[in-house]
Amino acid sequence: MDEASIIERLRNGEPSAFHELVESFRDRVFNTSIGLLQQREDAEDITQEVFVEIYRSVAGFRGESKLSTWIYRITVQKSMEFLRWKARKKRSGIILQLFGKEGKEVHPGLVHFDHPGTRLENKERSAILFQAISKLPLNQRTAFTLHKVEGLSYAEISGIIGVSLSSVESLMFRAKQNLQQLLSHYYDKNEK
Amino acid sequence: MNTKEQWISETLESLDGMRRAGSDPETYEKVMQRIRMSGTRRVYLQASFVWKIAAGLILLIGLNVFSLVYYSRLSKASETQTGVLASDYFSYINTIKL
Repeated sequence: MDEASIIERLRNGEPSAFHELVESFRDRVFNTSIGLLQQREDAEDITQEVFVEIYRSVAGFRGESKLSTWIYRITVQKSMEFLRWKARKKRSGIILQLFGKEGKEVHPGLVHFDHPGTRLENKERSAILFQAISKLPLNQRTAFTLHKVEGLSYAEISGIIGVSLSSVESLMFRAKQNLQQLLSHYYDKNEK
Repeated sequence: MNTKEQWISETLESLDGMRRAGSDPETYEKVMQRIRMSGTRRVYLQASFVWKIAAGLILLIGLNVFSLVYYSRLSKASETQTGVLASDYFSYINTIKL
């Protein structure tokens, strides 16, 4: 897909160009959001939101970054907004529970997540790892997911999340350290 | 490497070689449907933004209450002043008539 020509066609409002764009990027957007959100339905919803956003704002895309970087950036932003919204919902759920209202239904709690792309022999362990990833701070979670789930390089990640290459390296280092600790606790509790 | 370290290392590597998750093949149709129904877009607001709006509203209501109280006091005071002026005026007229 020629980026320059598709951007030009999108700006001219060609419906076939938008169709091509969705078909080329839908798996990448979905895989990134499912990695971050760990819920299939939420990831499908965010994928659609991302393309609606692209449709609305493509005229303002100045081509300062690659098209894929821009799309990944929107995906990460939308997923982060969703995660923050969910966290707020969880907090208000706790408050409702404290006051004896029906707070339990607001947040279903941590669900066992099975990524559809993991190898059969790794299913069990990757589910444990995803559970640990969900406990990481959002910036570490984003960097780790983009690298491990979407297979992006540190340079690409730095362009997407708008930090320097050394900051991405540091985020990855801290993410691995935190995951080692979380997995160690899990092992002591369950695997001994 | 002991068993625990080995388990942690293997778990950390469990995402290696994974495939990309496939999205819904009808994504394009669903996106176009959402664009057509653009009025029902879901918006996730930042908590700080909501607090700012709430603070703004409280300030607005406070200013309204303050101005209401202030102007009602002011109008009461001016009514009293007008009353005094009127009674002085009529008592003066009465004096001239006499």
